[in-house]
Amino acid sequence: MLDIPKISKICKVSNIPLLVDNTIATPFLLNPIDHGADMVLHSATKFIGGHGVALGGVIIDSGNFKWGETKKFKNITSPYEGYNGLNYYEEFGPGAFLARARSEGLRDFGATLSPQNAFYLLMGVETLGPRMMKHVSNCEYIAAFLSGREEVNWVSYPSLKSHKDFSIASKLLPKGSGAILSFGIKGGEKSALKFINSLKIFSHLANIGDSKSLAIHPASTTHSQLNKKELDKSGVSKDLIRLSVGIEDLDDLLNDIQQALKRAIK
Amino acid sequence: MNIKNLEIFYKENKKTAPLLIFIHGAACDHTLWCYQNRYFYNLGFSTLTLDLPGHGLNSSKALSKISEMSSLINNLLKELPQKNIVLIGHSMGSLISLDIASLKPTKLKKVILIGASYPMHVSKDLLNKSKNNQEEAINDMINWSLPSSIKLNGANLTGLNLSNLVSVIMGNTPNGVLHKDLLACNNFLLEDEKIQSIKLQFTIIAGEKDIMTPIRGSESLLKLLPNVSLTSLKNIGHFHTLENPRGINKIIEKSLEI
Repeated sequence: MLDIPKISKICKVSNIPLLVDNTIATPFLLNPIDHGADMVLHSATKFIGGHGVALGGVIIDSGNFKWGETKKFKNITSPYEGYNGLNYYEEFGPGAFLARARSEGLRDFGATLSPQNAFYLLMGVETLGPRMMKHVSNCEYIAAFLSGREEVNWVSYPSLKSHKDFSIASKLLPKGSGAILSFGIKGGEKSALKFINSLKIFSHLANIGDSKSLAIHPASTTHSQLNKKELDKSGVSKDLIRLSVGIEDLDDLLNDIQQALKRAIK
Repeated sequence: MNIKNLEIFYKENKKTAPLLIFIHGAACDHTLWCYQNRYFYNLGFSTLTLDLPGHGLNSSKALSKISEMSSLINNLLKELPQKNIVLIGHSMGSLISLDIASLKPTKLKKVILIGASYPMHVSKDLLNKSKNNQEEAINDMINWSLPSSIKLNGANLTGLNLSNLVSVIMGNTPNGVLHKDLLACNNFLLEDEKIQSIKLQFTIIAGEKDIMTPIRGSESLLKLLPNVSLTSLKNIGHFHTLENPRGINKIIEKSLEI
């Protein structure tokens, strides 16, 4: 968990804009700007869209960062050759970063949302609130359930008292800590792969934030290019399984996890 | 750069090109003109936007009277090499432009007033609120200034959310400056004869949904100024330059052609 208020104080003293990726917490559970962040990012493909069918992203700039009070960001505060000498900060003031992001990221590189994807994301965001409530309640139950299983080495979920950042989560995320949890399975990678292959309701997918539940073994998939040292450094152990808990019936999910654990640890 | 107590942002085209000077309104700054400044520079005009004392990047002490503000800009006009200058003022900036025009500087050729009520009466409630709680007064002003359609759709050029953008621009204004500005607007009055004697061409631009400086507020100027025209834009409120930049630019462009 990022201690946003604490880090924001350090950033302010050092004249560094604080950009928080709020994809996992979602705007329903957390507004980082309220806690001192200058900017917020979302991958809208995840919870905002909710169905993993559309690529999209969001940048929200509070406009609070004073780009002109430091010489660290000359690409915003001095004339930019790539846009006929436009000085974004001088011209747009608090809108400088977004104006540059749009004129360069959008116009020059073409990162433009397609109308069909915009439609999917708009449709998804309408149900963000109720979905997140169910995501969170399912995830809290599953975290507690896994914590009590003998096949499980450890569970990492910020709403659990055992989590090292429990107190930060309680402060910043009073409505819940989202729907992503990880746990370590006894037997390491072999058991982890068997667990994932035994799941019937959870889908084996690298995405997160779908309304359906997803599971993955990062060490052998998303992080497979890292060596042992790098895996250790990034906190991805061989026994780690990541769950993105969906909004299905809780009993169905618990039964699925239970039967997969049994098959994995015979 | 700071000249004559004004923080100015100057873009020079050919020395013979007319100079457009953009003057912002109460608790605003030069970024209000972000959609006009480069547009007209790219059309071949020289442009100058500025931050009045106490506004934007100008940390000098804010002024209390329109005449003090216009005097600063009038002094700046004398220093500038251009002989063909157009003043474009928004809201409080329109009163400053009118006051400068009444001083009849020889270099001034045209005046464009956007959101120009005259006299610019400010309600007692808003004056009191701006004195006691500037943040709340700014919120009220933004709520009154932007029609709901604009609040939903944002700026049509960059997609910036206008309520948030204006809120940050005005929110950066030091405490007490909004009150000074509003009081200056409320107290500004010229003798009718003085206004009648201004022979310059004036263009007034009004937003049909502007509650802060409604179209009817321009009536007295239409009666008093001998050479004036009024153009209104549909579906926009008080932050004309941000709400409909293309529409505003088109009117300014047309006015500059005459």
